[in-house]
Amino acid sequence: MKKWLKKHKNFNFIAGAIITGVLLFTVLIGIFATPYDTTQMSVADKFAKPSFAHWMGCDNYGRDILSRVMEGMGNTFLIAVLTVLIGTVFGVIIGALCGYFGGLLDDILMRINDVLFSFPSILLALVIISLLGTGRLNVTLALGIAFIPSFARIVRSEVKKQCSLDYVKSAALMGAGHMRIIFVHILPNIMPVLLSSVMIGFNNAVLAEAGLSYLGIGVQPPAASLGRMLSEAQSYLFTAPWYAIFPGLVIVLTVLGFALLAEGTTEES
Amino acid sequence: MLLSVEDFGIEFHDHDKPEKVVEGVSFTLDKGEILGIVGESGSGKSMTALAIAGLLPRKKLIKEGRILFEGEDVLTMERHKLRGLQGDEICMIFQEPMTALNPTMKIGTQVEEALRIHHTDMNDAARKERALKWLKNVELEDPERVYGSYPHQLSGGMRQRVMIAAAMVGEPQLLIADEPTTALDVTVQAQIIKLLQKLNKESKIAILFISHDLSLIRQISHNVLVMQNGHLVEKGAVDDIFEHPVQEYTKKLISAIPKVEL
Amino acid sequence: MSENLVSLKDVEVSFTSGGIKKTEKQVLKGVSFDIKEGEILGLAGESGSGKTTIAKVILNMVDIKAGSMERTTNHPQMIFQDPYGSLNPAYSINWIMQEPLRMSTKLNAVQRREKVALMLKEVGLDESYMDRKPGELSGGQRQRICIGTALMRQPRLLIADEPVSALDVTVAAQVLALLKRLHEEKGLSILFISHDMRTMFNFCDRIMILREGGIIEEGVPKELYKDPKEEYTRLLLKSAGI
Repeated sequence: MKKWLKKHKNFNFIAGAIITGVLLFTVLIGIFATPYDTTQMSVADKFAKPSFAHWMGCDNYGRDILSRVMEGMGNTFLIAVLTVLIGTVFGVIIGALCGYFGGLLDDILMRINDVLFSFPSILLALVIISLLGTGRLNVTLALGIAFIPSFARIVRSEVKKQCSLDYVKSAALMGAGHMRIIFVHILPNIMPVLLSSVMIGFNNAVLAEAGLSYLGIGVQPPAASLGRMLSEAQSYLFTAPWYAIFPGLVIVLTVLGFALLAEGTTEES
Repeated sequence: MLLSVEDFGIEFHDHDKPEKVVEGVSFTLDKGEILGIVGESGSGKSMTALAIAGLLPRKKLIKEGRILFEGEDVLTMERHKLRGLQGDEICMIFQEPMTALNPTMKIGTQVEEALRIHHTDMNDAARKERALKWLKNVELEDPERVYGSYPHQLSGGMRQRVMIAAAMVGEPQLLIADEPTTALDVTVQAQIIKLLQKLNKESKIAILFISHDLSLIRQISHNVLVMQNGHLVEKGAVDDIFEHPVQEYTKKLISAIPKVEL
Repeated sequence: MSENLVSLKDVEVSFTSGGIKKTEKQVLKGVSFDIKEGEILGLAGESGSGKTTIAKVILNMVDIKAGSMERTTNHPQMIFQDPYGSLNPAYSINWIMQEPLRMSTKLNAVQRREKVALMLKEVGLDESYMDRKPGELSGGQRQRICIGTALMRQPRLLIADEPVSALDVTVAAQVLALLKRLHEEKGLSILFISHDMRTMFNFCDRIMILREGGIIEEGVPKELYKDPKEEYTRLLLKSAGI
């Protein structure tokens, strides 16, 4: 671990780690307590400017924006993490099996993969949501499925590359079975590429979720969502710009932080 | 004297501590001479060859000494002058015929490339004629067909011959060959060696032949340089080196060649 | 009378490639030979001759179109040409060398580790190599580890596919000496695949010349080299400067 840290100590990694760290910390606090109740409305505080009492001001219902942003961040993180998890787990399984065995299995699965891949992820998510309905779980499922194809392709390509190396033949001669060869011998060697894809995937998931919520088919009110807040803030852009600025800023920082982390960890010495 | 390497050294400065990969190497090469440089991995032979060809990066490493090609120092020459030499007076061929040729360009186009750069006075017809002449010289059957083919349509041996043709087309004074036969089949290797010897006799081109294979070095060289860990261990005429080696390392290398006594 | 470890009779192997229009290429055209117990058999051939396919046939890694392959040894092992791709970069030497034991024995971790230490000594490496990773080792050291790993299951036959072709001359000599010693001490039979006629002369008991999927000539090195009957054999010898 120490060696790993030393190797990746560079500006990108540090900057990314700080930004992501601060955001994660905020999310954690938000799980237990937010400055105000996220659903508490207050006519008196309607469109309150950012102040000491309300760091990010209030929205059209007088709800504290900071608190809503914190909750929204939590939702976004959760959905993004689960989405990437689904995409990675199934992507690895499909990609590894196709890359290792090839043949008919590869042909069939990859054609299906290509069909899924050709849908823009938001469109695919739309289709799935229209079948399953809205809500956090369904959004996660929909995006997760939409993310599988790209992971599968990457894993397949990396596994194929590894299979051409002699250590794989050697593993077979040692008596290891196919599954063991794929998951114990080959998989650790594709980790660097996979990790990089996971980080990029996380960012895409954040943006996709924000997009879906903005369109109104993601997280539903009264649950807070950064994308949804952006949508609502549109009408008040000139009267209460802080309503749009803060959620938007948080989305930008999240993506930036992770991108820097990804860049930092994949930088070669 | 075509080439004079004087106290040449390379020190890498891209890691934590500086690393000397070549140190104190001096030798000369005459017109028409075949000099074999033999060494194991890490000996610095390839680095030296790249330096002579002017292919070493100018940053991240420090070069000492001089490499005089026809009296001028290749290491400190202005870039445009160096570029004028590369491909025209000094040419290089490499180990991997599979990756040395551009897969998307026809053979003819690639062989003519050096002419296009250095001999702007030649028109299309003249260039094609010269290219075909050299494709024939490297003993390719049906040069016209090869001219119009793509690399993937040729075998490894044929590609290496094309590489040699592409290097010779500018009729250079010096050909640097870095392990040119290592990736080829044994029978093809022998043919390429014979070809290089023929070209040397006919065009009087000087050849710097780098290899780890002592028997090949013995077959082709007039003189031999033995390198180890960046240093020049021994140099001399080929027969002297092989029959009366002086240095321990040279003796060790020679004794490592399996002997066949019938 | 030493038994035949492996027996190939008229083996034919072909590969089909291409999607819609399938082209069939015959890689082995009726190959027959035996590997006797305790011998070092050399297989000389260039690329495309089918030498690697013969190894795959013996290891049951490829389908035989015609003919038969019989073997009395259960798990022949193999070492490969490229020392840099032969060891899994993600694991320590200890883990890699224990894997054959993990798969085939009921030994526990401590016992396996002991066996690894013993084997490292056999191949001339210090115990400290156990916790290192392949990336830290040189070509010659890696090849020694590969040999050690291959021997963990105590095979009676080792197939060596160009094992020293990618190594420096002095290092190659050491690795060959190691193989010869293991052959003598443990009675290990070796199928030595190479294109290097010089190395094979001193190393092999018998040599077969393989060309385009068929064995064109074979014999004891001294006789074969002195009086080759086939043009191709003469060409191979001449190219090696013999």
